[in-house]
Amino acid sequence: MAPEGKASVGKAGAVSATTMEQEERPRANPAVLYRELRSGCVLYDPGTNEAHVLNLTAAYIWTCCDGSMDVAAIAADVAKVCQLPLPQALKDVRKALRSFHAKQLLL
Amino acid sequence: MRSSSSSSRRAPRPSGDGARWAFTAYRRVGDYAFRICGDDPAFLPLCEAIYPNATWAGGNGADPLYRLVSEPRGFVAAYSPGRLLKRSRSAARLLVPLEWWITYDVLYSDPRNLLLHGGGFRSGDAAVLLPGGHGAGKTSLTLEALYRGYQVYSDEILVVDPERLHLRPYSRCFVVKEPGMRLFPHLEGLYRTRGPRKAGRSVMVWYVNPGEIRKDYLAAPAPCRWLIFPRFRPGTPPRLTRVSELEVVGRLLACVFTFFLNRDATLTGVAALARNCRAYALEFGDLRSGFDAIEHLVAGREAA
Repeated sequence: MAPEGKASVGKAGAVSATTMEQEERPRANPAVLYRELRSGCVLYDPGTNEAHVLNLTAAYIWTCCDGSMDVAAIAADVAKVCQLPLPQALKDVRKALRSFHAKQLLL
Repeated sequence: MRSSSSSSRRAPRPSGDGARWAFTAYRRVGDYAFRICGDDPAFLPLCEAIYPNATWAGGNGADPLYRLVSEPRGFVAAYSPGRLLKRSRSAARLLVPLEWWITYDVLYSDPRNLLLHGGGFRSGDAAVLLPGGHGAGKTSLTLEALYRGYQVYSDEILVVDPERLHLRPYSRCFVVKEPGMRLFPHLEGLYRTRGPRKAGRSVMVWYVNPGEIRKDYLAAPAPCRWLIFPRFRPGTPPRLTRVSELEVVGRLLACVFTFFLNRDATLTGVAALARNCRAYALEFGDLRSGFDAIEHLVAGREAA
C-alpha cells in the first residue's frame, strides 16, 4: 500500500523507535484541518503551510489518531475495514504514522 | 460575485473629495463600488479598460477612490486609497498595477468566496472550470468558448460559492497576451500595454472587453460540474486524461488565490469541487482541436 499521494510533502525525518511502539496512542495535531474526499482526505497544516492528500487507508488511519487507540488497535481496525492480513495492516499503520510524525501532523 | 452594471460612463457628478478631476468613473462589481478619477482626459482610455461593463449609476463620493494623476517632470502616477501603486513616464504602464490592485480589492471584499486562477464557461446547466497557471491556455480557451456561442464566467479568476458549489460570473476585461492575440487576428483590444515582467521579459497584453464580442457574454451562476486542467504544448494533439480526486486537490490548491484569507472555506471548497466534479487534464497544441475535445467531452456526457 502506498499510504498517501501528496500535494506538498516535507522531508521525512528519522523517527525514534519508541514513538512507533505499539502502545503509543497517536493523537492528531488539532490545528490540522481535515476534509473528507470520496477516495481519501486532504489535510492542511497551518504550522508548516503544507497540504497533504491521503488515500482511503491513510485517511482511515488518520481518523483513528484521536489518542484513544494504540497502534495495535488501529492496525486491527484497518485489517478489518480494509480486509488485510493483520501483519500487513500493522506494517501499513506504522508506515503511515511514521509519515504523519515526520510531517508534524501528530502531537 | 455578481457583476452589476448600469449607465454613466462619464458621470458629471462631483467626485466628492474636493479635487478637480477631468473625469470620474463609477464602477460596481459585486458589492464593491469604487471610483476612478483622472486629472487628464488622456487617461480616460486607460480607465475604460478597467471593468468597462460594471459602470454604476449609484456611486457617490464615499466610494473608495483610485486616482490617475499627472506629476512633475512628466511623470504620471496611479494611487489606490492612501497608497502610491506606480509612477511612470508612460500612462500605459499604470494599467496593469492599477487594474490588479482594484481586482484584489474587489475579490477580497467578499472573503467567503473561493477564488481560483482559471477561466470558465457555461455548458447547458453546468459550469465548466478551466483552472491553470500562467500560459496554460485559459484565456484562449475561454475566448474560443465565447466565439462558439457559450456564455463565460471569466478568463482569469473563477469565483466559486463554496457552500452551493456554484460558479459565479466575474465581469472583468479579458487580458490576452501576445501569443494568444495571434490566434484571434480579428480581435481588437480596448487597450494595449506591456505586461508584468516574468522570466526576465514582459510580453504585450491586450485588454479585451468581452461585451464587445457579444452583449450577453456573461453566464449566470451554475453548479460546478467539470474541471478541465488545460496545458498548452505546441505540436501536441489534443488529449484528455482523467484526473483522480486526490490529484485534483493538489492541482486546485496550486491555483487558489484565497488560502491566506480563509483557509477553512478554501479547503472546504477545494474538497467539495474534487468530490463533485468530473476532472480531466487536457494537453493541446492547437486551440480549435483542443476546444473540440472539451466540447465533445462535455456534450457527450450531457447527452448520456
